[in-house]
Amino acid sequence: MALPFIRSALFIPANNPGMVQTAHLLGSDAIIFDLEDAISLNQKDSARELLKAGFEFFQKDEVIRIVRINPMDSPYFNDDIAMVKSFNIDYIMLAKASISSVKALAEALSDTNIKIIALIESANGVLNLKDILSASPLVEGMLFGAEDFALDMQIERTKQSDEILMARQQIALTCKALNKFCFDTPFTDTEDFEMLNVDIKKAKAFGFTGKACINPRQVKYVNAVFTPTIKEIEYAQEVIFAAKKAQEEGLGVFSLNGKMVDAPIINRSQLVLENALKAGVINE
Amino acid sequence: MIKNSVAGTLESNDVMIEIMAHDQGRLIELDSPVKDMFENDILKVINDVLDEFKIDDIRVVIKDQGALDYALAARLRTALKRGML
Repeated sequence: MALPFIRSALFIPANNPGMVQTAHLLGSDAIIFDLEDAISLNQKDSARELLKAGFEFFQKDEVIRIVRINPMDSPYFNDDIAMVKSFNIDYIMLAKASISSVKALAEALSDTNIKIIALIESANGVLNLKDILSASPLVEGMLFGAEDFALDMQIERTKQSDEILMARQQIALTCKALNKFCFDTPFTDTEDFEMLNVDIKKAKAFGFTGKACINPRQVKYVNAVFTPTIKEIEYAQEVIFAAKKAQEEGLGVFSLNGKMVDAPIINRSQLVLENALKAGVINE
Repeated sequence: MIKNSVAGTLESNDVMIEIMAHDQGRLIELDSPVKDMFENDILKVINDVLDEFKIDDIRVVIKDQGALDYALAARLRTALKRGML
């Protein structure tokens, strides 16, 4: 299964009409319309109603629509599902995802085309990630919520993020093994773009496929890091060209610029070109 | 039966809608910066939602901050669901 190309996913509060109606113009590949933390307890009904009307009013474009719903142990879970399952959206993001909550959500979505993104934000969530992601074929990816994770671990969150190093690497490894996409946790200082950039590059280096944003100004930085560079594209094009030539000559392994090229490098080059195409930086 | 209820905010692009019991038809009060241009359009959205809920007797007080049709309808639906006994 080919994973969707989602570099940036921008959170917006679902009860704000000004944001709901302009979110798709802010440059992110996906929008996460938030019914959970961004909505006060006495406005959940209002937010659901606004989203429902908004999704019926505005034609869906290429921007991926995600709705984050409240966790299963909250009093809002069932009402969220009952209404959100009728929305014209791509994914439901399940807060505090567990094996049982994923199964409950998947059962409710069985007569829809909506898929699931698991929000992993606890020590148990990280440890059980493989089982949570495997709890239903509807689960296509996950988001790491490091703020709640740190709270659960009773550890201090820092901009350097050394405290979540192991969790991040374990998450990326698990997602790669299961062929699921993984969004890295948002960077919460919306004024520090230098450290944001460091944080995004770190996430990409670990194997995350994208990153959540909590401010529209973060989107361009995330998109830039998760878009293949010209250097990467040129090298990938060279590899693919050389691979075709080698295949014609009956060679399995060949040398390019003095370095051996085999199947993993060819596959990676193919992926770079596919992502560059999806990002619009190269043409067919 | 309808009890007093309210939905929405006074933020830009939003609308605050309050509903109250009323026994002589629909009494709709509109305060909007775009009232001169869009009064009829706004009233149509409001009346359509009231038709949807089959409500003939009600007082609706609308404080509009430039909300689009979908937001007007959503806020009224929320107020009605909160206020219908």
